[in-house]
Amino acid sequence: MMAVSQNQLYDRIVDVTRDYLGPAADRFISRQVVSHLQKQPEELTRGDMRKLINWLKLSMAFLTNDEELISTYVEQLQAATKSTAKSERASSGDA
Amino acid sequence: MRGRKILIAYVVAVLAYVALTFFILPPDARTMMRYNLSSTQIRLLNLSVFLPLVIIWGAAFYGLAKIRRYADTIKSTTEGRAVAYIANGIMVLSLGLPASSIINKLLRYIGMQHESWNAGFTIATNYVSLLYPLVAFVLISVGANALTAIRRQRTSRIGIHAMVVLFGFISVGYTYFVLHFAFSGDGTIGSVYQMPLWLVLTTLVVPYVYTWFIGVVAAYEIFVYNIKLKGVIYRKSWSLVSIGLGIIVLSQIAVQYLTTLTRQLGQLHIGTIVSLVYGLLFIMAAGYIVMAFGMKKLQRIEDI
Repeated sequence: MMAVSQNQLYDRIVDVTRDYLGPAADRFISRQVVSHLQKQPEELTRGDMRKLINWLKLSMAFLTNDEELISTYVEQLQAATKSTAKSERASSGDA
Repeated sequence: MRGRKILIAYVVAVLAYVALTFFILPPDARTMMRYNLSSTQIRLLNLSVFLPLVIIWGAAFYGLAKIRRYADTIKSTTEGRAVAYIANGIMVLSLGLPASSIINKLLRYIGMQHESWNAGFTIATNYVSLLYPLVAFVLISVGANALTAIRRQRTSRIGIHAMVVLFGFISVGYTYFVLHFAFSGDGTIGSVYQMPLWLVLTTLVVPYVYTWFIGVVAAYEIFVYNIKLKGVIYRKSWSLVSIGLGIIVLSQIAVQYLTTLTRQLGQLHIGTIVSLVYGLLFIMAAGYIVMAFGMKKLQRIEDI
């Protein structure tokens, strides 16, 4: 995959997380990617997302007891992953 | 200051206070005479004041340890510099609490031994009590302002007007207490300040009111930063910091009002005075603990 698409995926994930962790979202996601996927944030791919979402769900559980909040967060991450895939397919189609 | 250094500073402060109060300095003869107490009763009274002091200092140092750790964790981020200023302000407040108690105790004792120096030491005590909150609130205010600047936030017009009205009441009330209670009949020498009226007004009253104003503005700016923050979990943690800081600032103001009413309080029963002191001390401790809880939650976001 192109590097621009992978940044787009990471940026979408950070945008979703910003609704929960505010200014700490970027460094939170970066830390999860580096420590659990052993990758740099710009190397994030769609194939990593299932594992990453599981880790993010677990990490969020340490920060809040609100299970509804956590499941909403997970759904938003899954939706962001799907929408990034659609926009990549659309731009490949245009190309 | 790192965690271990903060703990050492706390232990040193407590030991210094214990050494002075119970081993080095003799019982306060004036208090013994005023309330008809024996030296044993005075020492028990000192113990009853010392125990809440240990708690409040412990709470303040705990709050300092938490905010210091968080400030170090995020020092390379956008908010890092602003939080570092706030942490430095909390450090001055926390260190100032035991330092001013110990210095005031020493100065009061030396003043009693040398009557001619008493006025000078009373003046020094008043300025020590003014200086550390002034420095602390300036630092906290710089940090709070930097936080709102990062988000390009503005305080609301209603909020500003509300603070102006609030400070109108606080400053007029404080000036009334200073003039009405702190001065004896001739209007130039008071048992509390030992200075002429114009000097008290310009070098104590105005700086005190300025200190409280910037402290409350800082707490309000952190509140504004918090309510306009994105991030539901992050915002909840910052709200605890904002509430804690507000409690600390308001209890600091209350302590100053109490100091101004020293002459009136002298006519009250000793139990009432001790209750007032206890009440203020625990309110202040609560402020530090609430702030520390907020910092602990913010730290957890950075640690996971």
